[in-house]
Amino acid sequence: MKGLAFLSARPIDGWRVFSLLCLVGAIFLVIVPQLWIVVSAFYREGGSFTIQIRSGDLSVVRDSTTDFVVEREDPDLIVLSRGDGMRLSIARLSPGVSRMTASEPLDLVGTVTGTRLDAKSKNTDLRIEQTVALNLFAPTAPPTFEAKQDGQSLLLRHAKKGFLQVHDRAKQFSLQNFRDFISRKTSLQALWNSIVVTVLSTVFVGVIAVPLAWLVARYQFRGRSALIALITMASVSPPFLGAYVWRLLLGANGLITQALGWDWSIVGLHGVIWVIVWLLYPLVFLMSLDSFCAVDPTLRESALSLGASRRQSFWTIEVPSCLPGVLTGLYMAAMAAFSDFGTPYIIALDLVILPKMIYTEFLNEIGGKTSMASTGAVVMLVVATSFLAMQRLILSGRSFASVSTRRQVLSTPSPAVQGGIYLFAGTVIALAFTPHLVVIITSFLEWQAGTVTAIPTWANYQTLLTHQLGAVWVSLSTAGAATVLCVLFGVTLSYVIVRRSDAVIAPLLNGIVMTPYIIPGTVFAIGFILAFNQDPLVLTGTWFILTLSYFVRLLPFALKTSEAALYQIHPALEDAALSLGARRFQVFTGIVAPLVFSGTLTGMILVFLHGVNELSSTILLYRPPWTPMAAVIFQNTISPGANFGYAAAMAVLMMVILYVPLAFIIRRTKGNAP
Amino acid sequence: MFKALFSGFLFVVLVTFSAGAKTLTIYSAHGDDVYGPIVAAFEAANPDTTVNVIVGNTGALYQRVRAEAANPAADVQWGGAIQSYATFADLYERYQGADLSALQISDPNGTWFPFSLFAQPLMVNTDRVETADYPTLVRDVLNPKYADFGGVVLADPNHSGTGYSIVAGLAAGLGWPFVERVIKSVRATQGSSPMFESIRDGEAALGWVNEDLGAKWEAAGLPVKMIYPRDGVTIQVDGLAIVKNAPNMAAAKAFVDFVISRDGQSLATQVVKRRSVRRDVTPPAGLPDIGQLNLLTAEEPAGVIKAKFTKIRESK
Repeated sequence: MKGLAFLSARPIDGWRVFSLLCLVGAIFLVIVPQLWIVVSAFYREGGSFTIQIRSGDLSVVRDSTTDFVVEREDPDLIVLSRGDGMRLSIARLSPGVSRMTASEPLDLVGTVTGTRLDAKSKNTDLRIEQTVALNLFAPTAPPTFEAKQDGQSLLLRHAKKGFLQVHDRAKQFSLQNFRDFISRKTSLQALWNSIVVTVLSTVFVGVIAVPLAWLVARYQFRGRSALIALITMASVSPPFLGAYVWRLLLGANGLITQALGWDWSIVGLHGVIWVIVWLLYPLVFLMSLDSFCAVDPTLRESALSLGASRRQSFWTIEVPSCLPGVLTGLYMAAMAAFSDFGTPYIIALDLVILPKMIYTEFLNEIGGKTSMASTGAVVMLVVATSFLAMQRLILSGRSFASVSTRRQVLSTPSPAVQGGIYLFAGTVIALAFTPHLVVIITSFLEWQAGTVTAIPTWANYQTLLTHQLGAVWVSLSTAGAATVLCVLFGVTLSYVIVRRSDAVIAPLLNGIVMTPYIIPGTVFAIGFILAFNQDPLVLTGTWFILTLSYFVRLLPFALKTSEAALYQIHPALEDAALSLGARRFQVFTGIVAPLVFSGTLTGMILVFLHGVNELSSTILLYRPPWTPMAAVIFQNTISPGANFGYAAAMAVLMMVILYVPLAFIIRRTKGNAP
Repeated sequence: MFKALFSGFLFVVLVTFSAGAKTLTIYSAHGDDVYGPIVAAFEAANPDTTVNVIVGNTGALYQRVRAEAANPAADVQWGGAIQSYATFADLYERYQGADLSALQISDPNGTWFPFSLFAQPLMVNTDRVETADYPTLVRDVLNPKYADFGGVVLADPNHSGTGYSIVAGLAAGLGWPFVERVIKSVRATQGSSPMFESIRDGEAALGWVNEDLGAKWEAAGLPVKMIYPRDGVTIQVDGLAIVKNAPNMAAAKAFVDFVISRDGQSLATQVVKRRSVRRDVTPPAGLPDIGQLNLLTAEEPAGVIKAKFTKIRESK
């Protein structure tokens, strides 16, 4: 009963009711749709084996037996057993006729369909499938495959040359998948590579983004707001094309590689880190910038007036008080690096990396080990959750807040510092925009057989303007609606998590809401289809499922940006308002919301940009006429003979639609805010 | 801006209503260059049917069809190896009314139908390998010099129908001891496109390719060269199937009939440059006569090939 005490708290607290409702919503939108991953990691099918038949003789195929152990292998009798005591035997009666007996009564289910039959016993749910090599140029009648119940066993009439694959589909709770995961060289290698990518990318991103954000937060210089706008724009790269562009430039046959005569290629782990760094530093920059700007200048002034040196005040005042934004930004970047499968998919070639492994196992075209993929996903969730716990532990253990709402005064840099800023900012912006520039150039070129030529053309844009303008509307409306939802829930949820934190609901909500951030989009989408494709709620194929999926997948951006802002605002401000008679809701809308506005704006922009760009879940969820721009781009990059030029033109249109209003918003708000 | 939004809205409304008539939804692993002409011809022959095509990776489409099984959206899935359709047979409808008499290959269960077939020769990157060093036999891929030129790539059969056809065909024709050495020496890609593209881009020196794609790349002047090894060439068939409980079953059957018909197959050979699955359709120009190739066909089922491949890689 003690655990339920929070339910009976008096008087009724609106925030508590709200957070409980959110918890229910989060369970409904995140946990329920994705439960299948956990189920498939912990519930394992009962094993399989394959029997080869050669001129009537039976043998067990080496290496393809799982869970079963071969006890006897004679040309006329095969006996296998399993850990739970189950035994199966296949005895040849005559060439092409066998009897299958189990240690418990075995019953035929239904009738044989073509090459398959199903049989059941108390502890098994067997599927037996006959495979015979297909002869392409001398078609023969399909080989016989029949089954008959004979007492408690089955009588099989089968081919004299071919394979009988037997697999037990009955699922049981088992930790075997995890034992397999840690005993397989490939999965351990994948986990290790993922950790290397995550740690190194995050370190490099931090080294680039944090100092740059500090410089921008402290100094006034020409082009400052343009710089912020540019880096914000760089936080999204044209979907799918970004990593391709780096390969086009720096691959073994790349334009730059060849021009310089290097024997080098970006393909490999180093390339994955390189691409991810230029993809993610804007995220850390934006969150750090908000945080640096929100540092209370009076603290620093007091420290200086009390005799602290500039260096002392920097390390003891500024660094600690902007920690929430920097740390949260780095956490978001680390998780994005950890879960990114698109970059390794294109850049890593044969290297195994955990999210790529999960993606390829789940979306296996040849009948995959879904259990292995789910196990990998659960391992990822555990790693990610421990990162989240670490971030929370550091941030909630101390206070970064200040009561002042006074903003920093920007100082004018010396010419040397200003030159340094321009050089630094120019380099990182150029590198972040390389994919964009190449995409713009190639959109004006002709593509043949999936490769770019030097022939200029307008045709890509002409096709675009006559065909797919509906996609613009679909993208803007779904991403727009998702952004509104994300901002509403991001601000309120961050308030619940930071301020109203209780031991149960707040961390639970935080963990659940962050989960979709690290699940690969395609995997996430499968869960969404499973959950919303049946009565009582059929959303598949509609506008709503796209919006809902963007909302759930992108809420972490809005939540974390508001959260970081909130850590820097002292609760005393709210207490003061409360003591003056303001209602809790008034405090929230009148005091908290305006103060976290800058952080929320960053979150809002990130959600919208990523919403329009979202590809990995979109490609499984969209259905015409609700085809967003990202899906059009994807459709035109998928086949090796596709017209990439058209995809590039769509990507350019998308950038224009996103960047023009964005530049306007940033110039009006962040650029000259202080 | 507002005008663009409004016209977009109008477009969506129009599409929604026009889709109300009779829609055939196809999940296609082929791009517009392959499905476009065939779908257009089908629509011309069936004026009352509108075709919606949703494009995706083969693997993603299987998972989408599986996830949607309770309330399917697609009528037909198109593209991908026939072995994959056989593996996922529970997701597809049996259709026994089709005319299979002229086909070179068909499913004894009547779930999948063949679309095209293609050989899988070796392909070298001509920037990385000199003419004198071109392989002539599959056995040559074990020559250590290719490692110096940039290595050999092979699609992992655990992730690729193409990889399955290659490994299973080589195992059936040249034996497991040889294939085991190949598997231990190659770089394994998690899909067939990365294998093709890494050879094209010079990330690797040598590997296998689907001949229709190799022919297109050669014709476009890319630095690749296909070689049909004398000791054996594997072959793959890709197909299509009707989704179980398809919302528009009649149109789905009509589409399958069209694809395997003489008209459909003639179009496929001319446009896709793949060999027809019908005996009465002449192969596309530019590909060697199939009678002259030493064809290796798969014997062992996918489950066996995948298990053996994984075991060999893990013991590497």
